Amino acid sequence: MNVARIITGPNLIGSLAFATLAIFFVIPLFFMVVVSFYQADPMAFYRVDFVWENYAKFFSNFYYKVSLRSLWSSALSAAIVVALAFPLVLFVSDLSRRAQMFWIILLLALMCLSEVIIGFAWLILMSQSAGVPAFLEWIGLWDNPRSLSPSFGAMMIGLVFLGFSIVSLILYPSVARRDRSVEEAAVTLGTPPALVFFKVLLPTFRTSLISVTLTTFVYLLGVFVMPTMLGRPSDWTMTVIISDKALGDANLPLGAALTVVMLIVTAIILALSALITRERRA
Amino acid sequence: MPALTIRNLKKSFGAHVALSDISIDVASGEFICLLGGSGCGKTTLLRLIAGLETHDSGDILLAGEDLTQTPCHKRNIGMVFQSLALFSHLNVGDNVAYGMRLAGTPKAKIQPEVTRLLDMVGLSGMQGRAVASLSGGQRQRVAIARALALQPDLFLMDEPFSALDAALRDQMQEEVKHIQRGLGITTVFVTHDQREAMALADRIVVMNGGVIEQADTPDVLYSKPASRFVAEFIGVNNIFDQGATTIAVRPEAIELSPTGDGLRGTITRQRRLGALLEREILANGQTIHQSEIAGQGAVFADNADVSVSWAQNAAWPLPA
Repeated sequence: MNVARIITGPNLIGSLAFATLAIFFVIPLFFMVVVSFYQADPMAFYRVDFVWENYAKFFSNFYYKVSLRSLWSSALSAAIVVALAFPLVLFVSDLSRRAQMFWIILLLALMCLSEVIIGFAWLILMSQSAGVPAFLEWIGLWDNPRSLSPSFGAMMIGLVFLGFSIVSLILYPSVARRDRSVEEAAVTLGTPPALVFFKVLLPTFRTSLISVTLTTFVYLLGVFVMPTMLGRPSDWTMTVIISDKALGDANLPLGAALTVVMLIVTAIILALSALITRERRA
Repeated sequence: MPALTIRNLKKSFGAHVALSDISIDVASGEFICLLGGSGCGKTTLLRLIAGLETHDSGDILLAGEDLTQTPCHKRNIGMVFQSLALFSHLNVGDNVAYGMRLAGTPKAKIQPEVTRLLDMVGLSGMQGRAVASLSGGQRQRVAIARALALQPDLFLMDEPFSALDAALRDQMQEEVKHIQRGLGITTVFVTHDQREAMALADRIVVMNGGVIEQADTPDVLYSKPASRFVAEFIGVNNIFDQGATTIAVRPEAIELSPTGDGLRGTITRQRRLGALLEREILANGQTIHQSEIAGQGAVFADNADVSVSWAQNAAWPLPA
């Protein structure tokens, strides 16, 4: 193999990528796994040891419920995000070039907003004195308004808002590039235009939609700000609890153990989903 | 009664007039080709017939019934698209069965019909194959079988062979012609390729700028073009302005001789295309195209001076 190929070829690029991955992902992950077996020590975060008690705590009723709740709220919000974003992207992709640019810029702008700013905006919108409740009272639809947050619904709105622009922008290129004559062919074969979405578009994009739903699910599983700002403590996800344990209670080993378990659970869910999708495609 | 009648059909997109007062009758079982360059309105006309566009004014009658108020999905027109538009999420058999399932055809009838259609297009035993695993020619056949599955009253094809290589295109043309003849289905085929139109059509409709320039059999169109545009579009034609009249002379009607008192010119190019020998002669600043069966005429060197002539009955006067 010549030198130029070694320098510019896939070997070097591959090893750079591997090194980056190792430094920024694998090594911290390995450290976290190691710490998860240490003893908790409030004075020094942890004490080097090898104990299973951090993992044993996960299977206590509380953490078990929190993890299920996290999976549920992430999965539900991911499904809602994709269910809302796909029709919107279809609609936008059929607009004029100029209108499409407007929507893309709008979605990019939304994506650039900080999670904290979005959370505060929704806090104000859902507050009793200045937001939607006050407006509903003003127009006479709500006699005795109260703040809509914190609540599970408020947290879901925050999560959906957070994922919406990202999912729309991920879906847009493939939706905009789709062959429109496939939809026209369906109509010439007797499909009423109102059913083309269900008969052709949804099945055609099924794999992409499943994939983007899974990606969004994983992304929303790790969101920290929305549950803390808009959710009740009973709605808090595992991310909040982990942060609370690791930083609030200075119990880094327990935080690490909870993180490892959540990683394993997420990996199992993704692997099962991939397996099911592949079997359906085959 | 014609199978398809189009009367005074007009269509504009904003300020752009795509079709201007189109009228044509298509006989039952006839194969017509809409031929023209980009933007001539041929695809728009096809899409109006299919119901994929709405017309501004005029009539489209299918077996005497007005189609313009019937939505596309109720017209029972089979269409093959330029991109083929196969359903990638369905296999070959399900693509073909799609329309039948939607129409509520009993399951017991669908399977034998899919088998029959796939046999007809030469895809026997490929029902379970994924569309993505098919070759270009096989995909064409699936699109044709799918479009014919509902036994449509009219068969439309929009440049379906434009992405195929020359050999496969010739083969598919032959097969489509064979299927169309066998079913006796009235067919409208859009193409920009005059050779394809000549090979397929009972009648060719040459379009230009949203109007029909000429609608005739390939023979008439070739030998007696109705306008300068048709003469030029339908093949290499030599057009001579002779004072008040303009005449068209086919390349094969041009005769060359080393001497003579006719039009004098210089051979600028000679090339052999299989059995055919083509020459270009520069005379009075105009390039004249001449062709003959190789080996049957006189031999000339490159850059030879020659005399160009043609028989009087080979010259076709064009309208001014």
